[in-house]
Amino acid sequence: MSGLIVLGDTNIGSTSDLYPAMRIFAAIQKSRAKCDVLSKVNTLNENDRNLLKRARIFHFGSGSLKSEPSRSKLYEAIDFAAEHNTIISYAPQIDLSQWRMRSGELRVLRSPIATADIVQLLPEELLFLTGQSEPEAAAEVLADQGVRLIFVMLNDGVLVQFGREQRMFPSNGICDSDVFFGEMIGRIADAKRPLRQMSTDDIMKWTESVIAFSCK
Amino acid sequence: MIAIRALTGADKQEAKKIWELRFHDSPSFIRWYFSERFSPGTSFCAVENGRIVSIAHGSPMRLRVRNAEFPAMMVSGVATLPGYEGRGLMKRVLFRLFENCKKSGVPLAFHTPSHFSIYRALGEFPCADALLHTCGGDPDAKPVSDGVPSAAELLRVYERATARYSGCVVRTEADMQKRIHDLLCDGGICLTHSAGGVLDGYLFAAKTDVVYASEEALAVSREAYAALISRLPEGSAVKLPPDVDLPGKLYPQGVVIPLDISFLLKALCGDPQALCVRVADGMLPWNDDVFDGAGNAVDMEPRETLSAGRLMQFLCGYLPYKDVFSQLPCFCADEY
Repeated sequence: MSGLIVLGDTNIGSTSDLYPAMRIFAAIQKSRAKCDVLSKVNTLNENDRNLLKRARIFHFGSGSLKSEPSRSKLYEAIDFAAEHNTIISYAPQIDLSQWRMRSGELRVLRSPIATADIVQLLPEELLFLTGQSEPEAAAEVLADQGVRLIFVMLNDGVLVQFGREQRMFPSNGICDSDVFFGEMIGRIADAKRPLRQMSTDDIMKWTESVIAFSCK
Repeated sequence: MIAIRALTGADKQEAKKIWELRFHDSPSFIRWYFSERFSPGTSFCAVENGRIVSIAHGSPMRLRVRNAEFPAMMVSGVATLPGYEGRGLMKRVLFRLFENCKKSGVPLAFHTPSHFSIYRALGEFPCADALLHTCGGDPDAKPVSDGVPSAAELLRVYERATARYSGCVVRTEADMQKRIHDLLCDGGICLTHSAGGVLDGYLFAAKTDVVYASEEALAVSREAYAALISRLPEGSAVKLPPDVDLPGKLYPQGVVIPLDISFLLKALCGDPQALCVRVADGMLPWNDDVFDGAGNAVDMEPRETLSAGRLMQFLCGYLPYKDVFSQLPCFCADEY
């Protein structure tokens, strides 16, 4: 099924509607892409594998990385999805009250970057995840690690890096990062092309139009 | 027609020219490398019409992973000549190098990638971090080199300082002597720290314009690290192990490549019941199988699916996995 996005945060639906993945889920559902979630069981089951094989994008946040068994299941899901050429998307949305940010925890939070194709970062995450506090430099660090498409959500807009090209999109208001990201990956999933075959123009045009309604 | 083969002693000058062409290293470093590290029998190349067009150097070493020592191959100087890129030559040369390691009983390879993005396509993930500390303090400090201690004295500090790290090279006194030559070959300085008359820290640094860059600083306490670093001028950069309690930028530094998953699972897990994992390895076909926790290839429905690179992160201790592999501090001091 083309246009399918699978979400990897398995507690979707069990928390309040403020939970980021749930808000991304809602935003995706407004786009033409379809959305599903991994099962709540502790291991990757046959149904999960089928979903990941069919998906265009596998998206997750840092919630599942905090503890077992969700962390190991997430690693397996990432590796399985990557093996089947599914686009890997990571928006950490770190709950700073849950992490002490010592080197071991930073390794865990950074670990999906080594396989991610798309990463969305918030300003307070830049230093933790890249060692850089400037958005431009932080995006370069991720690109050097092989991340193809990077969105840095800023108070006054969105910095986009696609391949080696960076562009700042100013906004007239505060961007809702979940709505923005859900819409963006919805469009990418709907494009039915590998990320490496998408043009910089496509990405930048979509960004511009999504900003218009997600940043008010 | 491309042929892949091991280097021979006769290839030394050609290999050196390729290094000079593809890497921005000083002539003194290149001289050091080809005098102390060049190991033709464990290095491989692609040859077309008698000319080396792609090359990967392998230097035999030993790596300590989870307190066990393994033979390991350090990979360096991976280069392809202009005009020959994009033809898969690097992958073919590395495959032959890794295949030779497997045949020789070497289960691990490691390297420090200049760009992780290049090696990600081969399924290699970070397995060690480093902390880049930028010195504060006196902008006008002019560090004066201490006398360079003997290789035996420095080795004792190296061993005490790195004992806690998984993924670190095990050095001999001869290895330490080679490393000293490397660190001083571009006119570097050596700073030392002692407590109670016993050497407990050292820092090698080379001047870059007005500040210094330190490629190796190791000590047995935070106090020793801080004292050594305080002697460098403001703005100097010091590469440290990731868990030193000093401010700095933590960054992924090293990759470890599992060349023999079966052997490594047996050595580092050993419990057949702990795992039934399908390992996906697009580079090394003998790793691409279903294994139990003792490294036996099994004809069973796997409970887990992992890429070889990810499994290596767990085996090293870089990341935790279920209750099978705990997380450990991981660091690998450079060897050149």
